[in-house]
Amino acid sequence: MEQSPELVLGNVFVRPNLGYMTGEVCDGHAHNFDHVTFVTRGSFRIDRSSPDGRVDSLIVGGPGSTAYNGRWFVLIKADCHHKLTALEDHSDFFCVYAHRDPQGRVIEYYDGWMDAYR
Amino acid sequence: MCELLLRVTDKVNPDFYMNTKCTKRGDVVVVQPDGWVWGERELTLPFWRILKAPGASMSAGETFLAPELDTDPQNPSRTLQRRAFGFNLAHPSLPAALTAYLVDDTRAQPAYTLAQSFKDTQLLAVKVTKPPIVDPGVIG
Repeated sequence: MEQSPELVLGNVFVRPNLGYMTGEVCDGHAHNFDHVTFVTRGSFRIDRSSPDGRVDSLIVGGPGSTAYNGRWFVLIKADCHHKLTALEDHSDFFCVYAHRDPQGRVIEYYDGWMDAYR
Repeated sequence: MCELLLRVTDKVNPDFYMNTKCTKRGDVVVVQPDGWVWGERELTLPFWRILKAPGASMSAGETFLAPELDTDPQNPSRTLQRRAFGFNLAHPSLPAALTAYLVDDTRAQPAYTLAQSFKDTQLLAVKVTKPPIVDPGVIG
């Protein structure tokens, strides 16, 4: 797994997570706001624990992966605890967030309020 | 509700790329909550100032700390600045007493307290986006 720089791409913030090998885990965590996770290579099992108590797992495979089933991205709601486990070598995923101001409102530009992406 | 340590003169490095990573005039070095006990150097050195903003939130203050981020994944930049945003030290809304404090290198007054009416809106109004630094090693 490699540490890749986070990016401001226009009106969204992107956090790449690259090079996961089979079994490597992105530890369980939750975010302040909704965000979308795209699996661009390989596949992951995503274990989710929603604030309302629901617990489930889903497999998300990137295009070209044997696990690919037409769905290669997932919306992860705010405060939903989630953990990603790579199911094959060289798996990558990107997390995409909206920019927000310190009041939590969606804005079109990078404002420097890093809690929008945490 | 926050206190800002502000740099008023550029820190420089003879290496061009290292220099882009140094804090510059107008950069906020750190943001602390109200009542923070600042160190002796922070209270006395001529290139720093302490602004106390009891009416502004920590969240608003901390937006000044954000780094400049890459915008082109195909062409990562070597000139990303330590701070993406600066405090406009010449903003017309700043009181004359603050302007005088900012130019006084003797630090006779260790810190300046902004009015309670100086809220998030006023603080964010003096925030400026710093322009990207063009890499002289990139042609075209």
